Amino acid sequence: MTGTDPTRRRLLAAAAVLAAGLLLPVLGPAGWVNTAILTLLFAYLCLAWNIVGGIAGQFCIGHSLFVAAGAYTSTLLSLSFGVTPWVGMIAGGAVAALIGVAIAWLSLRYELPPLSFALVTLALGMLGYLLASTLDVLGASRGLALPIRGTPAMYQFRDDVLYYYVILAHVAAVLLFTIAVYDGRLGLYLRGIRDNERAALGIGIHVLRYKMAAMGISAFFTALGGTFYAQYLQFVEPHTFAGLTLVIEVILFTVVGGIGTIWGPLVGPLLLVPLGETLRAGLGDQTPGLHLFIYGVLLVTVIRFAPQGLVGLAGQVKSRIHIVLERVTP
Amino acid sequence: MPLDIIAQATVQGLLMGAIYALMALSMTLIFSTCGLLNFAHGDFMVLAMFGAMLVYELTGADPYLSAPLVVPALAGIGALVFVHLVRPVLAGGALAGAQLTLGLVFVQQNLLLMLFGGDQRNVQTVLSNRHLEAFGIVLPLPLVVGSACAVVLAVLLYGMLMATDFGRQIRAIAQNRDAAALMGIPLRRVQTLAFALGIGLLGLTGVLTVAQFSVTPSSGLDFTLIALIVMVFGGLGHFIGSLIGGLVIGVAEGLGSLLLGGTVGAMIPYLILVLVLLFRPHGLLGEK
Amino acid sequence: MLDLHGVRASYGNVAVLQGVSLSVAPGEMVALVGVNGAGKTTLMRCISGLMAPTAGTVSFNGVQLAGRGCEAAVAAGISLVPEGRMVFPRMTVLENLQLGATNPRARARREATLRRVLDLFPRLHERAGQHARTLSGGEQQMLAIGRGLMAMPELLILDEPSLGLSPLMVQETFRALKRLNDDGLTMLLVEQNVRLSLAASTRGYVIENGRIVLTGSAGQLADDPLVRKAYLGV
Repeated sequence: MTGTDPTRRRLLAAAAVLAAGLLLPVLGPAGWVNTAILTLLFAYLCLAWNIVGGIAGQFCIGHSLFVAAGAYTSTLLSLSFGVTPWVGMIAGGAVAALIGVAIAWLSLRYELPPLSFALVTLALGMLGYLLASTLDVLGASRGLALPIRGTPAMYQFRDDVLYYYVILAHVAAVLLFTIAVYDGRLGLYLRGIRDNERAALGIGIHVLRYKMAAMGISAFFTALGGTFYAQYLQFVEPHTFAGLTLVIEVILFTVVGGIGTIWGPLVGPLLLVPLGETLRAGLGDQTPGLHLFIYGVLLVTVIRFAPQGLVGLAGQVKSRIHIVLERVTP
Repeated sequence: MPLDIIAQATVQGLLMGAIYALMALSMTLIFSTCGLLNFAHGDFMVLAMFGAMLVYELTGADPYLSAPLVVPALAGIGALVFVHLVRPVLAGGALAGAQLTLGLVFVQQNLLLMLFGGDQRNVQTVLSNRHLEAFGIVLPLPLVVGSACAVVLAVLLYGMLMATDFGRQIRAIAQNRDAAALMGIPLRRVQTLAFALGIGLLGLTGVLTVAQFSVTPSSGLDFTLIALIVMVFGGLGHFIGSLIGGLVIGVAEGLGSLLLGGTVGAMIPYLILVLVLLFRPHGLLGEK
Repeated sequence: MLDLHGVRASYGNVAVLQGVSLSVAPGEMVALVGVNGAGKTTLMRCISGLMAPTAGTVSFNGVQLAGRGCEAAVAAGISLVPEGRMVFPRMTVLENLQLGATNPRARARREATLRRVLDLFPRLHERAGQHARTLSGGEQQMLAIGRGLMAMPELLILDEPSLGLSPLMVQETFRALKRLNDDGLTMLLVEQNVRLSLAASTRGYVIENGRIVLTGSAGQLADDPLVRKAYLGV
């Protein structure tokens, strides 16, 4: 069996998922659009984080830096020089990729153990947050507001459905990238590094370079998501964009979905974000925090009882069914 | 800048540092015996602080007096969390455990948000608004008392670790888990007790400092990060290292805020963490 | 005293022990020899409780121990002096020894046992207050053995006691072990140094690729042509 078989199956599955996504505006319930946008945004950020955090196995808690890099870069370029955020987002991606590669190089060239790497990225993320809250050029704690021009050329849409299509395209891009790369050399090497770094070194893989690549790619994608979020909210401010909350949610959703798998980062947000929004709509008004509390309890429960995530659980169920079928069929 | 202001900031930084050190010590206790990086560490402390506030609001008793209630409650919660949530997940590796504690951060912050609302809380104790004057330095009394208690608790912890069977078992587990098992040390029981002890100690720290900090339900992560920074700086698992680390970080933060402004001061601990992890990952006194 | 039947063990998908059976009778000094990777240490981990075998039984004086963990093994009377000594580096010699007497039966007699161990190893007495990591290799070995004795075991298992020791220290160590055996302590000796272990023991087993391939009295094994060729370089 060649490696293209699973890849082809996955591409077909992805096509099906994306087709469903395209049909959602037609078939979806009323008022669906904002929840859908949020869901896909998280799916996008989770898929991007998964490249370095799941597939390469480098647990990075600093992705707030990349979200902020994307959002602030494109916004500043737009405000100061009138550069359209479509171009600005590429610039933001480049900035983020540079930061990501630098972080990876600095911390991993001395073979920092995984926990310490997580802490370094966490500390750098916090520093980024503090910088964003203080520097006036970044708007300090008030943030920056985007002028409402409403032209698609400037990455602003009157109709929210268009935002939906944009983020759907982003998800498609990163999902297809992940599938294409997963069984290819990049994916295999990254997973090899994740599963047994010493063995990878032993067979001559340039571990550091691949870790840097994973960080750079993940950072680039994440930054594009930051720009999207800024354009969607029409403002940038430190708490949302540079703060820890977003990153922790992304990590938790990915873990629940299935860290390191292809579909986990998609499944997690797909289930949890609409759930969260529903809880908030139903319960959020009377008692602030109740919906998030239930959310948190669900997260802890899944982590406790299904450490391989929902995708892993599905895989177990599938093999169990296979075993039963094998016994039953002659 | 007048010298007495610098001296004031330094002494206050030292006192704060003692409290930071105690926070790091309880984190070290848990990390070295259970191998867990507890992101929810600070949230347990905030839980205790809110508990103290609750007791005050219900009974009017001074928050310090709530300790006999809050501390055992917290230790009990810690034990339950460890046995039912943390330990089973830790079997899958330290990273899995860390992920679980991230989830717990979510749970605790929002539980407190639900119960108490998001406003910043201040509570008065019998010591509030009183000051101690010495050598031209004016210090808030709650800080002095809290700090002194922190030192006493650290000494008691040290004594326990050095002079009791239980303490030796903890140190043994921290230094070589397999060898500790071979001695017949009941790993699970000691780990559970150490975890509960760490959380209880943290609760006590919270009660003692409830007048010193103004807390919101989301303050937990800030406390966790400070404890983490001190622990890493001093050397993971090193008792004296955490003490010295706490004092250093406390002074650095205090003087930094004074000389360079509040936000830069807040950044200093994180800068220290990044520099330590990149250039001396085993910390000040830890071993390679 | 100690009885193993069909013990199998693996690390993940790699099978290390493929069905090992052996026994040790009271008062014996039994040698287990084999090259690196033959499965000796894995077997010791199974007996001491550090590891659970995937199949087979480990019984000690009738008590089933397989998969029950170290606490049960120590309580039953087994004490392992592990490969590489594994002394607690930042604890003193005295503290290391004290920890050896963790199990309740030994704890009750800790002070008396301590005196006996320090008599047996005077050098440890001199260094009682020093941190274990400051000791030389040979002294650490003595400390590890002393620590194992503190548990008041009925069976003392030693995994590679000669590793990294100077010839003089090896002699001293084995002399102490002989004394202990003469005094009635049953021992299982795991060694790469075949000549040494067969010289010290009454009986032996040869393990290869996770299986017992040969057994007999020490003299028989030393004369066996296979053993002589493979392990004694003759």
